Amino acid sequence: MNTTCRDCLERLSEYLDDELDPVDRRRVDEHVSSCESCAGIARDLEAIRRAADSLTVIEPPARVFEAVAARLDAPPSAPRWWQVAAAVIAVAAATYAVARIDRRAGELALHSSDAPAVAAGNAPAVAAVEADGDQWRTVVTQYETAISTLEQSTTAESSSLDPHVAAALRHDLSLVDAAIEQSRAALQSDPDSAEARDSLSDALQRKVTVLQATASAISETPQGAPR
Amino acid sequence: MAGHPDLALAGRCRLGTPGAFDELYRVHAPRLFGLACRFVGRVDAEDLLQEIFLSAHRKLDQYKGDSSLGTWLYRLATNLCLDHLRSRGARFDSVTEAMDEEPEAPGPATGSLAGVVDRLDLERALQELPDGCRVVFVLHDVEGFQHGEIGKMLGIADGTSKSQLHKARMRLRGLLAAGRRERSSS
Repeated sequence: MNTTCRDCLERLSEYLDDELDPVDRRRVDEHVSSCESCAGIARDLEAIRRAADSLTVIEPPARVFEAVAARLDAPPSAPRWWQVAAAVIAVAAATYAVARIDRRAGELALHSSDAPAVAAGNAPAVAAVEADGDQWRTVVTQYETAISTLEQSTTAESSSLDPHVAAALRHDLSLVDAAIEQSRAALQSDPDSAEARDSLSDALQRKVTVLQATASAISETPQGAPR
Repeated sequence: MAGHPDLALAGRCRLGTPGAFDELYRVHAPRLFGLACRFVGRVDAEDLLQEIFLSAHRKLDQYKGDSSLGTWLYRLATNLCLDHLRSRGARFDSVTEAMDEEPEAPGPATGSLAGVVDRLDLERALQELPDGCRVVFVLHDVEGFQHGEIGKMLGIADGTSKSQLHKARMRLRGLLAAGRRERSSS
């Protein structure tokens, strides 16, 4: 079978890339050796292939790296550590809030006089109160850990704050610390007091909020800004 | 197994060691910029190179030393280049869908390149190609990938990659010959 120019050209790239089976390769070989037009095109495609293979790297302009460096130096969009800490606390606090609701439901069940079926369920209600105490201690521990972490960092970096902002935050902290002291004193008097527990966890949560505000203020203060 | 020696550089980059990321950029940016220029054109390539290195900075903790950093960065860059082309939407898709078109009729031998191609002329002519066949040409003839690999990258059949490569070479021949004729007549 004679190979036409059209048949040859359709296979020319595969021919040059050595991807044809032996039969097709021989046909193209024979055609190219007898057709100057197709032979010229084959030489051109081979030249294009060689030139492409020799294309080298391209040096980017300096402004590209400068832009990359500037964007890497910008404040990160990822959550900062105190935001992560806040998220952890938020989960713990939400768990505790649910526990409070469960506990109050349990208290209602314990004091119910007109529902024998509910009275028969007193054991789960007592268990709920005990579980609530465990959760409360977990929440307090998490608050205290977060507060300790936040205090260490904000104390180290607070010198960068505007003095007026720093004074306002110190004032807020003193109020929260006083509330925490009062709650702890109430708990010493009555360790099982639900109100005292709630009061202490609320006060600790407020302290986290104030420390978060301090951390945010520090992060928003430009480095080297006049104070 | 200790992993690739590039792990140390990746580690220094992650730790923010002064000069480490500069070194990573200095060593690898030229090759990746060449790739980006040929894929998307010089103007878009500058923005794309920024994205490649910012993405690399974010993902360096995923580099486990299974290959060289150059290979890891190259894969990242290729994916970002292809994403960029896909974000152009219809233009890229329409070209890849049109891959089975008949190749253009060849010009006469007198309009040929006489077997000689200048690299700068080729770089210019590349930018005249439609996205689809340009990408296949760059991946195969410049970067050295096989049709099977290209097919996987682009989501096309091996045969489509072959026909697109042939179309790209034939179009380049036409563009280069036309450019040569213009220069000789002016």
